[in-house]
Amino acid sequence: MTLLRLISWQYARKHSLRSLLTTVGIVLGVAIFIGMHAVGASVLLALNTTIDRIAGKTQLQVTADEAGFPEEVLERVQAVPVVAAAAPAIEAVVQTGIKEQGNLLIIGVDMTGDRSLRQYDLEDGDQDIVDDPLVFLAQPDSLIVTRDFARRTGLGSGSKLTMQTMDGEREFTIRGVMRPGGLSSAFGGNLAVMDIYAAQKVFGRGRRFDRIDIGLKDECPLEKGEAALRQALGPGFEVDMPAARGRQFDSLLHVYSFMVNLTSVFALMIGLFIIYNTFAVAVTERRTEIGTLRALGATRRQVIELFLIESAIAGLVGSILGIAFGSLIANTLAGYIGDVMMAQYGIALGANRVNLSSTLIITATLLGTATSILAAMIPARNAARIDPVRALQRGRYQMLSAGENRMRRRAAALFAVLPLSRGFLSGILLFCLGCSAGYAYALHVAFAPAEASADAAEAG
Amino acid sequence: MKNEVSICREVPCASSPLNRRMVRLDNVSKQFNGARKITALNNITLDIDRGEIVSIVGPSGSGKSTLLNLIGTLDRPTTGSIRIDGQDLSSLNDPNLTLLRREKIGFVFQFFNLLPSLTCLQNVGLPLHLRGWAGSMVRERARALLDLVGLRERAEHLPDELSGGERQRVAIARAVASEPPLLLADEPTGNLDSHAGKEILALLQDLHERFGSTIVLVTHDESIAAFGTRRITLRDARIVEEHRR
Repeated sequence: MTLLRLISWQYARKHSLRSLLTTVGIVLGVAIFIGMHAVGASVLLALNTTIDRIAGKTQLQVTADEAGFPEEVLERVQAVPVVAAAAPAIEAVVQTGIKEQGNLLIIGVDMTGDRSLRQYDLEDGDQDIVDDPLVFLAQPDSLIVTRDFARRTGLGSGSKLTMQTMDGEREFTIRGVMRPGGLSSAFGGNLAVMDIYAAQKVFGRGRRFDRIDIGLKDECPLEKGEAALRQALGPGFEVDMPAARGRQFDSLLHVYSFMVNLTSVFALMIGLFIIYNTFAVAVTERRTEIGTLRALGATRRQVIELFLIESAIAGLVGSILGIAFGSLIANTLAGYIGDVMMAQYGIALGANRVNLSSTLIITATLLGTATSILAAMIPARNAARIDPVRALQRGRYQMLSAGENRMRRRAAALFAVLPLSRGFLSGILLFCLGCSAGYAYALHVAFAPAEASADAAEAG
Repeated sequence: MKNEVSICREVPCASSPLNRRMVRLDNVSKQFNGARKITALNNITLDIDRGEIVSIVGPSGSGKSTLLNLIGTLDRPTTGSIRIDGQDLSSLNDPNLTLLRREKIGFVFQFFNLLPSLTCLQNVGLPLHLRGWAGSMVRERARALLDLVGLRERAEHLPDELSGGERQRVAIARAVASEPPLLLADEPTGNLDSHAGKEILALLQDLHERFGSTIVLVTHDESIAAFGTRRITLRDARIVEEHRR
C-alpha cells in the first residue's frame, strides 16, 4: 500500500485529467447497467403489483389466445369439482378524453360471481350498486370508478363520462366510487369496473371472455387444481397463477434486459479500451520509473500488483460513481417511463419505486472493477517485463514493446476500416435506438391482448 | 601505472576464500543480437573482494556499462557464470535475482534516476519500502541518511528543486539506504561539474569507510578512476589492464 501511495497516487495526482478519464470509462458502463436494470426491475414490479391487485383472491386464471374464448368455457370450468368460484372477466384500455388523465383500464366483471373473488369496497351510499346486480344488468352504461380517479377528474356518483368504444364515443354513468386500497389502487387508480355483458357489447367482444378467475375449494392444493382444470379444458387454454401473467411481462422484459446487457457490455467495452489505453500510455511514460523500481529491487510481481491495484481502485471508484450516476439515470428514466405508462396504460411507476437491490449494486461493482482490472492486465504485464537496462538508458524510454506495437497496429487498422463500414456504424446506431425502443415495445406488447381483441373484433 | 599491473586473468584464483570475494565473473561473455551481432563483453574473468573500490575505465563501447549491469543482476550473460557474495546468478530465477539485487546491491546512476514526484525523503526511503520496512522506520532511516549526505534541510524538496550535485547525493543516500554490501556506480559524476564531482567522490569514500561496502565504479574519466583502490581497463570487450594501488 505504501508503494501505491508513493508511486500510483502521485502519478494519478499529476495526471488528474487522465485518471478522471480512466474512471469515466467505468462510470458510464456501470451507470448504464445500473440505470437500465433498476428501471426494468421497477417496471416489472409495477406490472406484477397491478396484476396482483386486480387478481384479488384469485388463485388460478384461465386464458386462451388473444381473441379470448367462448362463454361456454365458463360452464366447463364451473363443472370442475375442485373449483369453488369462477368469475369471467374482460379487460380493455380506453381513452377517456379527459385532459392529462391518460387511459382508463376497464374491467368487465360478473358482479354476481366476481364478489367471491374480489371485494368492491364502495363509498357510503354506493354499496347498493354491487349488492344489487340488477342495477348493472338493467343499466349497461354503469361504471364504478376509483376514488382517486373521481377526485382527479372531479367526477362522482351520477356523473357522466364519455369514452371511446367500438361504436364510437359513448357516454357512461358513474354509479359508484371505490374506496382506496386493493383493486382500487391498481393501474394508478385509472381503473373502472363495469358489467361484463355490457363490456362484451361495448368493446365488441361478442359472446367471449378474456379470462376466467378461479378460486379453489379450501382443501384443494394449487397444483391439483391446475391439473384438474387443464384436464377439463384440454389444449388451447392456459391455466396459471395470476403471477404467471407477470411472467409473460417478465419474459418480455428479459428481451429488454438482454438489450440492456448488450448496451452495458458495449459501454463497458468502451470503458475497457479507455482504461487499456490510459494504462498503456502510463506504462510507456513511466518506463524509466518502472526501470528504476526494478533496479532498486521491485519484483515483477510487485510491478504487476501496483498496476492492477491502481486499476482496481479506478474500477471501484468508477463503479461507485457509476452506481450513483446510474441511480440518477434510473430515476430520470423512471419518471419518463412512468409518465408514458400512466398516460398509455394507467400504471403508476413513480420515481420512488426505483430501488437498487443489493444484488444489482454488488454485481455492478464487481463488473466495473473486474473490467478495469481486465483492461489493465496487458499493460501491467508489459510493465513487469520492462527491461531495466533499456529503461534506464536515456532516450529509450519511449520505445514500445513488440506486443504493444502489434496491438496498436491492429487497433489502428480496425479503426481505419470501421468508418468504411457504414453498415456496421448504422448497425450500432440502430442498436442504440433499438434499446430505447425496446422498452416502449415491451410495454406495448405487454398490454396488447386487450387492444388486439378489440382490433380483432373490429376486423370481424 | 604506479602500482602492480596484471592482465586479465583467464583462470580464477581458486585459493581465494569465497567469503572474501564479493563478485566473481568466470569467462563471462555478453552478445547482443540486433540487426548485427555485437559482442559487448568477451570472455571476462574477474574477482572483486569485499571492501574493494574498483574503478572500471575504458572508451565508449568498451563494455563498461554492460559489465556493471551484469554484476548488478540487471542483465544476464550470454555465456559464463557470475557469483555475487558466493551466490551463482545462473541458478536464480527472476524473482530471486530481484531479491538478491534488493538485498545486496545499491545503484548510483549517471542521471540520478530519482522519482520526480517523490520528495528526497521518499526517494531515499524507497528501497526500504520495497523491503517491507514500517513507514516510521523508513522515515527515520531516510532522515538519518539525508543528514549523512548533508541534505537534511532538503528532505521535503522534490528532485527538480535540487542542483545536480544534490540530486546525486540523494541518489547515493538511496543506494546505501539498506546498507548493501555492493555499491555500483555508473558514471556517478558524469553529469556533474568538477567541484560537485569531487564532493560526490568524497561522499562515496566517506560512506565506504562507514559501511565498508564494496564499490564498483564505472567512468571514462581518468581522474575519477584514481579514486579506486583498483583500476580495471576495458577495451574491445576485454579487460586489458588491471592496476592495484
